[in-house]
Amino acid sequence: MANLRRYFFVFSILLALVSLVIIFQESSSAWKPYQLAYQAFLAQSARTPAEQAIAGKFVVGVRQDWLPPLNRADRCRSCHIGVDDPKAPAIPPIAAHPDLDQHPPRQFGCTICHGGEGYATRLPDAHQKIVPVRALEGSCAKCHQYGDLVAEAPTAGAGNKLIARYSCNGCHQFSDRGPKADSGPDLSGIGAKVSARWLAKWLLQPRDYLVQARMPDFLLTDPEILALTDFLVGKDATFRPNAAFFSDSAKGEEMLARLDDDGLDELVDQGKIIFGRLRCLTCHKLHGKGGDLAPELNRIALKSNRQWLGGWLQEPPRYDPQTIMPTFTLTRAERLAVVEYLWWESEVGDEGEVAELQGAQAKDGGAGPEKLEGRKLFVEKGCYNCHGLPGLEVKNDFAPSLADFGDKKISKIDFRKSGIPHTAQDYVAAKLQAPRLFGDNLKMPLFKLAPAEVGQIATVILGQSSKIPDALKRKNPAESLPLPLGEVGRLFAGYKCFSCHRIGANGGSLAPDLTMEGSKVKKEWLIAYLQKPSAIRPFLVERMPRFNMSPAEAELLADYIGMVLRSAKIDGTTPVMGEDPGAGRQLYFDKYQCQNCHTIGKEGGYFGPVLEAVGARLQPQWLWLRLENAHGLEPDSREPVLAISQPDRGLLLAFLQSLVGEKE
Amino acid sequence: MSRVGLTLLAVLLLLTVVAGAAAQGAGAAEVAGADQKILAFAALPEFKVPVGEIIYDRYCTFCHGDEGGGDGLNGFALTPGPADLRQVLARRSAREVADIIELGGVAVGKGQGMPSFRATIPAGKLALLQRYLREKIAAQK
Repeated sequence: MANLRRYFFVFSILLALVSLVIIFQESSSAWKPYQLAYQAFLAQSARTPAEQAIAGKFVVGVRQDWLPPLNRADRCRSCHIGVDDPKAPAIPPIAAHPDLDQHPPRQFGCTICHGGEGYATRLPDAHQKIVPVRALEGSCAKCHQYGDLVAEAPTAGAGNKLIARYSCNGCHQFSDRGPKADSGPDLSGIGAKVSARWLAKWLLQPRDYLVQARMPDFLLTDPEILALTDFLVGKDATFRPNAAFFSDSAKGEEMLARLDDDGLDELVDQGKIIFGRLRCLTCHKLHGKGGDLAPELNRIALKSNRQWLGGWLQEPPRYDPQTIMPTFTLTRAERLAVVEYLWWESEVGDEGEVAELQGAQAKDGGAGPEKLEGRKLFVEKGCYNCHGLPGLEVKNDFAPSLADFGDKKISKIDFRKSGIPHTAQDYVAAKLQAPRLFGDNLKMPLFKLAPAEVGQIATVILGQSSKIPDALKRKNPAESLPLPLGEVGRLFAGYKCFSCHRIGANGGSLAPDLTMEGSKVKKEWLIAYLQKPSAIRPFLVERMPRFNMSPAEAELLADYIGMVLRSAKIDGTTPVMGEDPGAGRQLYFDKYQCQNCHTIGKEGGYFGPVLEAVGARLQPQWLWLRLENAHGLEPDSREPVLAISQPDRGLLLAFLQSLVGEKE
Repeated sequence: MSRVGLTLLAVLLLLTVVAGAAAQGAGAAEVAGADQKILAFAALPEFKVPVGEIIYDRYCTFCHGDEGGGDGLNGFALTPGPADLRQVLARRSAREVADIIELGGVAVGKGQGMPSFRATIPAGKLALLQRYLREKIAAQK
């Protein structure tokens, strides 16, 4: 019994000691010395009575910013006491935070951008899961649409571009963008397009064929490649377009057969001219020159066959309904010429490893100890997430969702035996560089990314979070205008205007936004332009292709644009036109020196559009608003905003409206 | 509890703590075990795209050139030609450079070739542009 009392006494003393230690630890706050230092600074630097009053009223205590919309509180300002005082000494942690006008900490807190544990008041708890400073721009996407902040968050913008290019949202879900519908070409007709030899080589290493290939390396074994090739283009495969696709080939072959060598040379020359006139290089590349929207054409003879290309050029959506390539109106002879020209330009290449693969197949009779089923592989490897096949729709749910990666607890990330530091950013960086590091049976393919690209994509992924309530999100102001239907809709679909142009919230960004085009340009000019596009901006590489539109089609489109795509602001403007175009000319050349960037006739700069026929092209109301503020209607314009007085504007407008170019 | 029991309990607790400590892998700056060395996040090279670069590419490259040498595509249209920014940044003070961007060439007695960008670039971005000029353009040799 006495022993028990002794034990009890000892344990009680121990408990008391432990309690004292804990009480002592908890009561000495980490933030106190910082606040005392800041208070001393305030007292020292106070000059005016107002400042002295502020210094006197400073209370040392926990600072808490309660954020009702997010239902949490941030106590970061307890240590970071000088964060919103621009005059705070530049000593962390009490130093001031730059650029806080848009997001004051007392309203937004800190953790919404920086991560970390807002409720904690001591290290290391407070800085758990803090977003690395370099990746901070990813957090913008929690509230802002990712397309809206290209200039303010360029690193995230670069990451988003890469994510779109490599179609990460084909397999993974993101919080701020939908699934990618058309990551890879539809394969329903692949049997008629490529040879088995090409396909096997492509599956082995896509970048051997196309340097800028978006398809990653799936690290397939040889039997897997053979099985997939057999499945897609083998003799039993059924993936061919229907007979209508080749309806023209027989006649085309007849025409070709009738030509002699000279005739063929002439055909190639014609093809070159047509190729240039259509402006294919706006989207395609040839020998390194051209755009990035479509595949490079250098080696097309290695990949495909003439019949397929002829059928494709006739009407691309017949082969791939999702294609962004417009349908050009060409005669059979013109199509043949373009095909011959491309074949003439193309490389012809050698046999290489693929012959070995084919040889291996012949030796084994097409099977190893286990016959691999191509269709099963197509599903298992995830091909169907980017490529469509009849009976296998694109699903976009193949890989773990990334929509909440920014909020994920470290304990939920499986680092296995990789040996990397246990932080979210290191996990993402390692996964992007070596996807199979975390296990042998993982399915993510290898994207050969440059280290800077890894950082940019990681920036976006680390900011993914769906915790922000919709009420806080900044909506895209661009209205979703209804898509055109009927005849006009057919023209839009045929010429694929939305591949390049934007109207409202729909469309691409390669070409000008047409949302207000009806109020901007004059209808007569537009009808002529649609049939024969000219170079408005001399320095641009990308140009509007010449679709060989009929006058009736051009007029219908111009009517639609003129009636529907209007802006109340432009229509409601009343320009005050000056009296004297000559005085306007003087202002143009002497006072404002517009010729530094714009060309009239043969002289002037190349930066801005050519102004020779601007009076015939642009509506005076639009020009008036433009002269008032170059960025008012087009915030991304490259023209500097000049302060032009109203009378000057009137005279300049008179001068510009007098420039109507040569009548054709 | 008996003495033996208490001792056993203590040893068991000790082993648990030791096992827990050992389970934390040591972090390494670079990791081998794949075809190429995998870089830790902190070891990634500079990947941030400076905001100043976006602004420079939009408004300045065309006359002053990609590297600021005054050899932009539009330079031919201007007399005198656009300035070599590397020299300007070496010769002029930060205040003068800020004035030139904000008020145009007329601020330092030059012509209209360089327009005023005060109404075009917001004040906060002007500072970022200047930082880009200092760090990227002036730093070239």
